[in-house]
Amino acid sequence: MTAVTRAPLARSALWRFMLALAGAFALASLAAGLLAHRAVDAYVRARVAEAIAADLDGLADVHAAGGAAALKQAIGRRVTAEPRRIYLLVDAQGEPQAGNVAGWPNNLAPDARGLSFRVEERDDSFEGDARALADGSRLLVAHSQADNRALRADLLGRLALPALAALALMLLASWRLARRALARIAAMNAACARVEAGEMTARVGDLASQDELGALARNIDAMLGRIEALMGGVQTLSDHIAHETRTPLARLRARLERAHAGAADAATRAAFDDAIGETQTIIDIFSALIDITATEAARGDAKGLVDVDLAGTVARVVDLYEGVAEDRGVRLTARTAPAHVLGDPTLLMRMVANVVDNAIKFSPEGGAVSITLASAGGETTLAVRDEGPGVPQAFREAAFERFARAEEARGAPGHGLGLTLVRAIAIRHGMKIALEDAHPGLRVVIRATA
Amino acid sequence: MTAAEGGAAAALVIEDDGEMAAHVAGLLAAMGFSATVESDGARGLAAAARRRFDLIVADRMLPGLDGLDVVARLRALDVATPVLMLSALGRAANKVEGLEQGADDYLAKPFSDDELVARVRALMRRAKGEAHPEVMLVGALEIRIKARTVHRAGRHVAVSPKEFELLRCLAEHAGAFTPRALLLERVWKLKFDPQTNVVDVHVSRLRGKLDEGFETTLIRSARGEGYMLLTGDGDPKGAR
Repeated sequence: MTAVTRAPLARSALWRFMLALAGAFALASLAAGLLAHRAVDAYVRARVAEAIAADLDGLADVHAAGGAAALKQAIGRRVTAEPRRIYLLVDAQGEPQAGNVAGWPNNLAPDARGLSFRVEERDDSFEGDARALADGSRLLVAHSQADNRALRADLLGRLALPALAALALMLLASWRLARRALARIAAMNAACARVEAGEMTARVGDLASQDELGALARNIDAMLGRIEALMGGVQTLSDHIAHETRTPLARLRARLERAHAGAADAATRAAFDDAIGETQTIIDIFSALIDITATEAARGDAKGLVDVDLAGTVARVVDLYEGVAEDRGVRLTARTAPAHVLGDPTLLMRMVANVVDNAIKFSPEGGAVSITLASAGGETTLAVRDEGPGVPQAFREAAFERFARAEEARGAPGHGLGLTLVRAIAIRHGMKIALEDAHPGLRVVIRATA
Repeated sequence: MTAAEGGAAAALVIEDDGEMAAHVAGLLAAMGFSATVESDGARGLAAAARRRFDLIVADRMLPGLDGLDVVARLRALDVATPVLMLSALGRAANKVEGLEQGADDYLAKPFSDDELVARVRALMRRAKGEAHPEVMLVGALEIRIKARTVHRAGRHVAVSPKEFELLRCLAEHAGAFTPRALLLERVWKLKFDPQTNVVDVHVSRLRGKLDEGFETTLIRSARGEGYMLLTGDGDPKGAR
């Protein structure tokens, strides 16, 4: 009866879908960023390698034309102009002749391309090339990687910022979209829950929009309409049967009464008494059906409703049932506080009486039936607890339907309409009713919100 | 229950179902009424306007003019004759509606003969203004209304307030069956019959108190439908 109509955002399927979508987008952005980063990195490396090769070619030409002295001079000029680069000239024995580092880096092949090494005195990594010259000396040119890294970091920053902004934008858009869709889904859930609670006329009403949710809402409304029509058909039929049979039943009863009055002997009179009793049973069932239907039909109708103190209603019910409870060895107690509701006093009395009647009926000898009535935070709770066999969990919803009776209750008197009427009266007053396990026994809880 | 002119009291039955009309007329005849039957609202109204009746029993659902309209028009014509409304719609809302329209009592069909008779009797008593006698004497029973005391054969019987109301209602119908529904309505102000026979328990207790120390019982149960306060010496105990 109490379906969750509005799940928290975190538990919403739609919201989870949106989050997954945003996550996938974030991953894709990350992958694209990495690829771009690597491509630019490769490009930068290629440009650096070209520049180094050109530098080495130029210096080799200087050596070929002017010899070692001219080369040393050229290196000196280069070191001054590009202090961040490394230049080194060593002779055939490996002794440094010119340049801005102390010696040939360890573990480096004397003549290789694409060298990568660290220079501790500079606290930096370098990439460069070496070349052997005609006189056996070797030349090393290398560029700092710090420049490369700076470029890479700059690139990452430039790529990440728009990606993060896009992600944030996407999350915001998702949240707003999800919220709108969720509100519409919540409306559908609310309509279904209200119908389930017995308010057969409740609808979603989201009919204008042409999207899938609009179509779903229209389908739900159409389905609820169908349910109402079917239920109405069943009720109208039972109502018709009850109404149409009342005249023949009234005649039947009148004839039996006349026959009873004219009976010659006690045995015949007793037989007519039995027949009248059975007729009365049929009449009672039909009366109850008509009462239920009439009460259900009056839901939401404020006509004839007056201020009723439920504490007074409970007191009258206790007054009425005290004797019955005592005769059956059942302790009947009530703890009440004033609780005013707008209602039909007769119907409310009947509701409480029916529940208490049931509780006493199903109580074992020596058991207790306790009625509590309390108001807190604008909600009034009326609870009737017994120590009887209770109602199996699986039957607690069905127990409110017409002619519904648990297997355990088959032997007890009644025709399975009491709880149906109780619920109809509760709904008529905008109250909620539930059967709960009282460990042991049953607790019937009726809640009214002011 | 006799009319002012001397003869039998006159009753008008407005009921479109011939068999029910005859049945009600029969019950009223047994109570000493001479009953006139009309089968629709307009003719019923005309009959009631033409001459004086002591009682009108009208069905609520009538062809032409319905029962509620008939009563409303009669009241507008200053006809104060007690009206008992009969209807196939027995629910509380209709009952209130019927009483608001000027009916004096309301009885749902199908009804038991005892209940119709008891309600007619109560209506007639009310119309004659003997609703509040100071002392009610039923056989050996003496019920003082103001003092709220009960004596049987001069011996005081202590009863609870509810039991007193119950006894008073039974005493008003002494010698005839008082239906359970009427007791629920008058004593507990209930317009419905609870599943469990709560009245039975209260009547048993009252009976126990009244009969304590006596050989006979003063209250007779009828078919689980009602109770009769006996006007004589009472039934032998255990034979009820």
